[in-house]
Amino acid sequence: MQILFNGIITGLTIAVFALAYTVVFLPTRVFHVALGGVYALVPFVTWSISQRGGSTSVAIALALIVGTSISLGCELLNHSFLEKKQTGLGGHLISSLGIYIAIVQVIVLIWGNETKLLKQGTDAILQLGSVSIPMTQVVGAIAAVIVLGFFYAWLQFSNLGLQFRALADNPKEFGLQGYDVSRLRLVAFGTSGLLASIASLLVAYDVGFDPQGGLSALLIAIVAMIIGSQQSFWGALAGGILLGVTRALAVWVLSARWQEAVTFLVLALFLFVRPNGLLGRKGRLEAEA
Amino acid sequence: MKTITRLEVNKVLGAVAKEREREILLQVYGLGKSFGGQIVLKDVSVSLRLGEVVLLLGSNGSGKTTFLNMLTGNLKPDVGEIHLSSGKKQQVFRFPSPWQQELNSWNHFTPERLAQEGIGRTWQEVRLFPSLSLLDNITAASPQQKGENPISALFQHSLIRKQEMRLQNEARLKLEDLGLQGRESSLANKISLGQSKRVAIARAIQAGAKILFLDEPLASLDRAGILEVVQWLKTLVREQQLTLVIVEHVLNIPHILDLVTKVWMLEQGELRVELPAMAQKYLAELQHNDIRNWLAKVSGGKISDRILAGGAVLSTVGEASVPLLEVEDLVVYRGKRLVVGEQHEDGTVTGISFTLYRGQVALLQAPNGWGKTSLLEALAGAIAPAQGKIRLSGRLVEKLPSWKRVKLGLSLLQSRDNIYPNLTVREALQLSHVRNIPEDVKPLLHKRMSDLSGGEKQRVILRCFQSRLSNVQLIDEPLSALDAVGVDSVLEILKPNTEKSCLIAVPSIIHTKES
Amino acid sequence: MNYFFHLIIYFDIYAIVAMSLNLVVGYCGLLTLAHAGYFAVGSYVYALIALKLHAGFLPASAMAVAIASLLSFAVSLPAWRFKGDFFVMVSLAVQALIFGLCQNWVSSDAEPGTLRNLTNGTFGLSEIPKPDLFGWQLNDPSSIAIFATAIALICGVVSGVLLFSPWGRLLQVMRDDDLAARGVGKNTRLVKLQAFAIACGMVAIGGAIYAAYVGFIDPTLAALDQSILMLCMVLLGGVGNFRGPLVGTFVLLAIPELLKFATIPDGIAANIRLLLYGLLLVVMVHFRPQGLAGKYQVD
Repeated sequence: MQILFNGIITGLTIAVFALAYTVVFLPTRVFHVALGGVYALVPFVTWSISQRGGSTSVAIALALIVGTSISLGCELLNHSFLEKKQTGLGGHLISSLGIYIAIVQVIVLIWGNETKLLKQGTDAILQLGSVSIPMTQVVGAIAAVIVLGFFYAWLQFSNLGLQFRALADNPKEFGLQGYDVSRLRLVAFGTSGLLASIASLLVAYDVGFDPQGGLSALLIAIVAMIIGSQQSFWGALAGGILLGVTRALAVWVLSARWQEAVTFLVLALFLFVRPNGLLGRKGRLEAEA
Repeated sequence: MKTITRLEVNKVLGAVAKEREREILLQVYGLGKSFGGQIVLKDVSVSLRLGEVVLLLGSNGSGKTTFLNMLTGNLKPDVGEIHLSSGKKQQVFRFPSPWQQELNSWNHFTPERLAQEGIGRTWQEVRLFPSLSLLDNITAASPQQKGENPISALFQHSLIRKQEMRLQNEARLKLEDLGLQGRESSLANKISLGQSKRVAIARAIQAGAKILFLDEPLASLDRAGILEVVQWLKTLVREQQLTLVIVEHVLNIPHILDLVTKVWMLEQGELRVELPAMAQKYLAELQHNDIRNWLAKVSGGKISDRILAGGAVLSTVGEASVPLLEVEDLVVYRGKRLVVGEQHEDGTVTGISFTLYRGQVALLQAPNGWGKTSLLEALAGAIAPAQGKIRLSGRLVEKLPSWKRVKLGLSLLQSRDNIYPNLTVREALQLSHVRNIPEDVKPLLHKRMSDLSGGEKQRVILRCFQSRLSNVQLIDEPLSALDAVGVDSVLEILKPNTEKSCLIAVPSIIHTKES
Repeated sequence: MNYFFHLIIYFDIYAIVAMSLNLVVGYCGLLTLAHAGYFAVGSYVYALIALKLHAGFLPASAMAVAIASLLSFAVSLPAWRFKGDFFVMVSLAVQALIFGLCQNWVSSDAEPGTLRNLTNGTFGLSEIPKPDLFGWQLNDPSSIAIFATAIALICGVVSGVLLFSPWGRLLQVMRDDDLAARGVGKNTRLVKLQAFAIACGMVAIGGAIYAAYVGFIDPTLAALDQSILMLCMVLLGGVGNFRGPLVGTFVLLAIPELLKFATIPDGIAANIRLLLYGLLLVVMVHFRPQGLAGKYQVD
């Protein structure tokens, strides 16, 4: 029971980051690897502001703004130009990887390489029957649920959300109908940066952060997206929860060391048995074997 | 009543018996395939004998590409069986394949497996290997090259050289047959389209094809190119006992009909076997019903035709007044391939030019592969042209993205991939700012776009298109895969209207003096 | 003088790495982040066999090549299903796995090299013997340099023979148009398995030389940073032909030397180098996608 709870809580955080990635991938097909850099950077910014005496809310707010801006910058200064030149997806990926590398190195140069912590002191524990959850995780879980709730509500019920879904479904037709695709791409990248920043703070407050954590967290998020569904925004949520619970189980049954192996195995399993993911629908028109 | 002599009866029986003697190379039972709830092929069963030349006929959206892909291993049928006897042993493929077969990677239903059994194919876009010379293109396709095993490549150097020399000679001979001696080291993009199509066929034969599937081999070719390819095919059938399955668009029939021995007609996912004469009748019917005739009627006969490069005809109805769309020297590439424009001997390229005036309707009739869709997409802003100018009501727009052109009054109705699969009908209408929902669409509101039938989709799409306030309308192949109700509503939109101008693209035949 | 030999040895090792990665990136058209993992596999296998079984260089590295080639299935099988971008993430997962193995196959109550403590975790393996060629011990940098260069030359010859053979043409054909290649009967899945096996085997040789020369290895050899460095080197130099990787190796080694001239302290030199690489990658994609000297644009 405890494991289930732990799994769901971790799963929610994974889901937020997976959503951040999906929000750019579905409409633009860009592998926003630089998001890993955002994920790594945001807690450091929060930490520095707190160190200089800023209040927690100011620190968080500023860090979120930084994260969102960097993600927007990726589109404004990099991907939009490549898109105009009709560069292939590999080019977008390599440039995003380059940005990730640069961000991480900047972090190391400014802050050094060790793991840091954001929370001070020890945590209160919330007791629910036989299950005990640290307060940080409770707050984190609630925050994740609120964020995810807002996003999905926006997606389903608002006009902009509808446009966003249309863009993800058929970007060419969307532009041909008269909607400004480049503006919506900015919305995508901005939302992505915001969600990634939130996800990274959730984790940073819980277990700490270091400069190298970005890409491996991104890998987990992408696995969550793939096993959830590569074709819909809801895949991130489904995959995230499933993966969170599975990893928690792995820690309990085997040991913490084997989490990565288990993640890889789950991915392999889904790819062979159910390549369209948990929520995927069968068969898009494929002319290739 | 004419009496039939014994001689004649024997002749017919003899021919039938001879026909039956020829071995069956390929037999297909009950093949079926659906995509996302829509049935594309239904219970298709045919057989193919040695030496036959089959024409696989169907309009756009009839499932002929799907059928072709299934017979060449590029797509797995949902249900049915394929029996292949063109290789050494008979191979049987059953669908759905039992899970044990999925794991056994040696007997998979894949393109390379079928190619090794003697099934070859060519693509509409040719697909020669761009970084290899012509000679290498053919040599590389040879089967069972020892040198393709890396260990042998390292240690059996001289053996491999010998084999390579032999294969290169074979390839050289093939190129000679095609009249390309001396061009062996050219790259694939330096020869004409007709020549490259023939090289692709030679490549498939080098790879050991006994049954050759040709995917729209005459697409994009001019008259000379068509004659080249058809001659070559005739030679192949005569001299090399090749069995051909030619997939062609209905309107290209006249050029290959004397080569063809049998016709497979695909209509709404079902296949009928017919005699070649039947195809001719079908074509005549289509010609009678085409848009140009309707347009001529509607305008009272005042229709003016202009010939564009590549065998296309631009037919315009209506008087010239205010220019709404001016196109000057437009050239469009898809990747490295020139699709709109004409390349001359010296390498220069000239583009397409024409003007549309307010109140006019222009019909662009061009053969499949000419570049109709690319032209319309370039005008709408979905692709960037390589050169040329486009003016909308006097304003230069070729550098503007598609949504800006829409604001200036241009809109494009695509022929395919024109829906949002995951949105509901209500949401799609909302996106298009449709205020009054017509009665026939109301029951569909809550359904997802991808779950609609072809006709229902068309209705919704048309409604969305109509509500766009535009004065330059581009319409791509509006009548492909439509039911009767759909045709009427489309024709409503296409009627000449004094406020706007309309450019409609439809497929056509190239008229040759012989047919 | 020793420093000069040191540079040569590093050039040889990384030239081998670059040539092997060229097969995957330039000819199969796949970006992989797992290559450092196979380099590490080569180092660890060589180290363990040399330490525990006191074997010479050739048998130990042969074993390293064999094991690395076998493990290459972890990346080559997914390459069947995955197109470029997703393949990167799969390779990242493999890298994480290998790194995890190197770091976690440790137990405090067993000797390094035993089944319970194969890699000795973060403590690494030390006192790895210098190369032993059938009894002839190579101890000083000059002889190791000559030896390393010889091996690099052999790898170069093997690479060249393969790339200019029908198999190499098959790789080009596959890279040009996988579907058309399969349409003429080429089993491109098998080719990918072969290419990866050869690439992983070759990079393992580089790992073995490294282990023998430096004498100490630890899991950081398999770290993501190393894979990224290798990928950057090859992308900047260019892929898809023979000289691109060599140019990339040269640049990789030249940058830290230039940084030394700019009197940048050693501690952050590695970071500055990576930072430069990251920025150069972005610039390159915009202005010169085929790298400095390559033929193929990773698309």
